Amino acid sequence: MTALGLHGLSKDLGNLAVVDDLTLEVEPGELLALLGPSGAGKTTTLQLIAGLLRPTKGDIRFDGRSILDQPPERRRAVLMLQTPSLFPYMSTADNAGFGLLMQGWGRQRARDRAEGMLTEVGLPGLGDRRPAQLSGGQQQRVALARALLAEPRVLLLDEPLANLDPELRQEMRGLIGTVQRERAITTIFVTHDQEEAVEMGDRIALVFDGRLEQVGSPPDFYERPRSPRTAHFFGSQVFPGTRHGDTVATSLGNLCVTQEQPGDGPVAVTIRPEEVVLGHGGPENTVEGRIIESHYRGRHVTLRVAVADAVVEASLHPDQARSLPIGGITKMTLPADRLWVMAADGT
Amino acid sequence: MNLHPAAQDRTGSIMRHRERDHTITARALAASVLILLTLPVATLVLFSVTRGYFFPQLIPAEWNLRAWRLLLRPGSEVWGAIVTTLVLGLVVVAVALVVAIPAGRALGRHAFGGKRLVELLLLMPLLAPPVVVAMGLDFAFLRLHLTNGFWGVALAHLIPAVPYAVFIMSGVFANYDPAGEGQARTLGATPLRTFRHVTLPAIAPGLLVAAVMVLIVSWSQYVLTLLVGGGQVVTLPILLFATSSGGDTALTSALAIITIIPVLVLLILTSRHVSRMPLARMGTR
Repeated sequence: MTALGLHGLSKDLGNLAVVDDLTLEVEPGELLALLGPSGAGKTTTLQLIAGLLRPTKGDIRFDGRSILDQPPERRRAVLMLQTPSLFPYMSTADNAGFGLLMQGWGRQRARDRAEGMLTEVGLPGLGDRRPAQLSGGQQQRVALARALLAEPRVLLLDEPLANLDPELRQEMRGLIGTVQRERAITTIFVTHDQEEAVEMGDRIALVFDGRLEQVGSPPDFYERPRSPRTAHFFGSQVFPGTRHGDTVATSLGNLCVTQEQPGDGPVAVTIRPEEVVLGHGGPENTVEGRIIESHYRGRHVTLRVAVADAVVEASLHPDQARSLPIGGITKMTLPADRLWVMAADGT
Repeated sequence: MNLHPAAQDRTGSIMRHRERDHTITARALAASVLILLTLPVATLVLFSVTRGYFFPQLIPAEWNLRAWRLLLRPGSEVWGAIVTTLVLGLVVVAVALVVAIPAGRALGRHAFGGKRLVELLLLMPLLAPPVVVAMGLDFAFLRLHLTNGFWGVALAHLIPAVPYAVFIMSGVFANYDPAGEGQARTLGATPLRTFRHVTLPAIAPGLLVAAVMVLIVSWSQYVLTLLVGGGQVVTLPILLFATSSGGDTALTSALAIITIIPVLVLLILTSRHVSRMPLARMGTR
């Protein structure tokens, strides 16, 4: 059974459909990364689940049962925000134990339990401090402890790492991942950073303009993007063209493809940079171009090769790249069975 | 000053002089403000314990506590007036705050149609001369049978009191981050407990300032109390004006001190919070 189900969920603000007919299921204990550019309706979706906003249409179900008529305090869908939003008038321990206090725990018992949780998130012995005496990263840990102590049925994380510096962010990613897995908390993790989504998410749900674009495992988005827009968002190279039979006419020339769908008409093709074969021609799909950029990335080198109006990105082993200097002309092959074809956006 | 100073020393010494100048200026300013504030009160104190103190006498001819004895004797109507003024003030504070918390939140945090009009309407009672307001109210209240009684006067006091409270609270809410409220709700707090544990502690200093302002507005109200209360509701200002027209300087002075002291004490006790208020942002947004 799905732990959390969104069914045709919509939220209009004025004439704008911020969330538009969103249907999504999250398995128990799963961490779903809700990915999308800013303004895609990710935060609104979380607020709808938490009960801080009412949907215009659609249903939200926990374990198959609609929770739309329940106020936020009964849903146990706990939000954690980008800003820690701690209660400044309470000690760190009272902040962390807030959920317990609301459940009617005695102050001392809640405090003891909170101290334990603070130790678990890496803040032992700081229970008596005020939030203002903690660093931003520490405050975010307190917010995490507070969310976990409320024993969430669903944990809603709204870009909780966006305000942290890179090192701290990496650390917090690990911490959130660990505590989420250990407790098997059903979690939605909102982010606009596809790398973060790939690293954190068991699955990713990509939304554009309030609409669900694609749901799948992280590799799906690189290897089998559903639309050119998705491919762009994941940083893949996209070549628009027109399909006719097994051939796609692109700015690189005519490319043979083996994939059957989508059929004839406007399409786009994409290829992973590491699948491009450089230096020599193959039986088909061979193009010639001038190397305009070369970026050393440790384990591989990324070359940008200008072909007519387009640029092909290819990555290869550093040893191989030595024979391919900037300015040089090279042949390369885009293997037909490595090309991924998508219907053009808006079709 | 040192005759052969190194350049650095000279700068340092000039800086020290500047600092000293600033301190002197600040002290002089503080002293004059203090004198301006305390001199009238001091004069009142002097007049309240003397009799027949006229120019060009240097020292009063006669010292006595007649006025104080008269005012503070058991059964004096001053006691009743103090109670009336205080109870009236507390009722007005309570009602004004209950109105001002949601109204200030709406004005401080949200954009809505007719917001400017609401703000203008709120300012009207503060701009219109009190006598005009009071006359109009008196006519309206006569029809509603609200004249000559405590509740009518309380209602009348709310007219200048509510705008003060609302503008102060809208300034408080303009700087208030409501994110914590949503957090509290999802953590299991009911709306009431969210207000009690999250909202109230955050707005408490502003609420205190609003309460003090409203209490002062009600405490010093004369025209509204006189016209709507019809002389039946006797507050300290009513008593003070009546006494002052009687021409007894000592009695008037003593009563003026009784009227002003609670306000001064209240202001001194809460000045820390008042000075911290973001006055510049009040009523904006």
